Amino acid sequence: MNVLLLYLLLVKATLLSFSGLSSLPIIRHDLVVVRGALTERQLNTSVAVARMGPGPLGLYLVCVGYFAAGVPGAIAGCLAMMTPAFLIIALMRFLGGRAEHEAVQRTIRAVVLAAAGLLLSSTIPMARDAWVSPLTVVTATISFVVLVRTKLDTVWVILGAAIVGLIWHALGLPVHP
Amino acid sequence: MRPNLRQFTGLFLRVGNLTFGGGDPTMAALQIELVDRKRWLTQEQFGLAYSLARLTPGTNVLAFCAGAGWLMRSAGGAVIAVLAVSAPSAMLAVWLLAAYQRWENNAIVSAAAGTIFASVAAMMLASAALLVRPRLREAGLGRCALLTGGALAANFGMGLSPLLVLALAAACGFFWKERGQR
Repeated sequence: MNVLLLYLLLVKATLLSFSGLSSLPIIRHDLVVVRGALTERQLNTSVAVARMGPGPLGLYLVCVGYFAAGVPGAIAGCLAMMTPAFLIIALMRFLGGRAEHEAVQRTIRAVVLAAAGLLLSSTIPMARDAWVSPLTVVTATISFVVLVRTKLDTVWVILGAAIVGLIWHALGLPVHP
Repeated sequence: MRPNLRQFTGLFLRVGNLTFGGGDPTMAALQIELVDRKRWLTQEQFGLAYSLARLTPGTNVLAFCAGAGWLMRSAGGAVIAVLAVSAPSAMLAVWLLAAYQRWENNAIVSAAAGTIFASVAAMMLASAALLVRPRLREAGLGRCALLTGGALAANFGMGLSPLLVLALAAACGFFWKERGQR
């Protein structure tokens, strides 16, 4: 895939999102659904791998870029992750007190709430791909409860899930049907 | 107080690449270092960078680093802070991904990957829930349900593009006042 186009698609997604994984629905739409540049599983892998190391949640863009166009794609993903950050300088200079204006706050809240809906929409095909056996459904349920009810770092949840899979495999039981 | 370049870069490298858990723990660690220990930023400057980072599109913690870096060492500081916080972690992510691709057909790796992917899909659900939860009090249950459920239905059910869904939500948010607003 053309690296410049990849950068523009990824930066479009980051410019339209305000937190965590909320750029993911746009990336899924552009790269998985429309262009077929990566699969649902690769997108899922990107999120998983990015959470295994330190750094911001947006690092999954680097993995998405790598899947789509190798190392140049990873660089494009990294640049797309960084680019919107510099808008804060313009905000500091020009927005100032208006940032607290209730219409601005209300608009951002509405966009974040819609992003949550889009995130749910993106989760459905990924869940269909991943929740394929009783073990994976139970792992997912426990992961969800732990993430919502506790402050445990996501890296421990992912490591815990990996250990469950390894123990299941060591017992000679299949993780997938 | 203007920090020297070596200390400044070292701090962002250390905190950004050794703190697990995403943006919030990283910003908490930076607050302790920048405001309480080093006194390179005042509490007010930290508050300004923190609140504007929430309004900046993209990854909040990178916006915070750009803002804090700009306050301490102008434009060069913003670039260095963002690069220091993200470039080493990005390289590690690529290395982990390349290692995964090399071993993904291995039975042991495949078993671990099966449950990891199940957990990641749950993480996305949790992420959606955690996006909605803090806004319930300000926006109200009905508004949250309508905007989140409406976006889900518009995208998954009706096939509207995410871009259009977000634009519609922004318009709703701008014109549709919340409880108690005049």
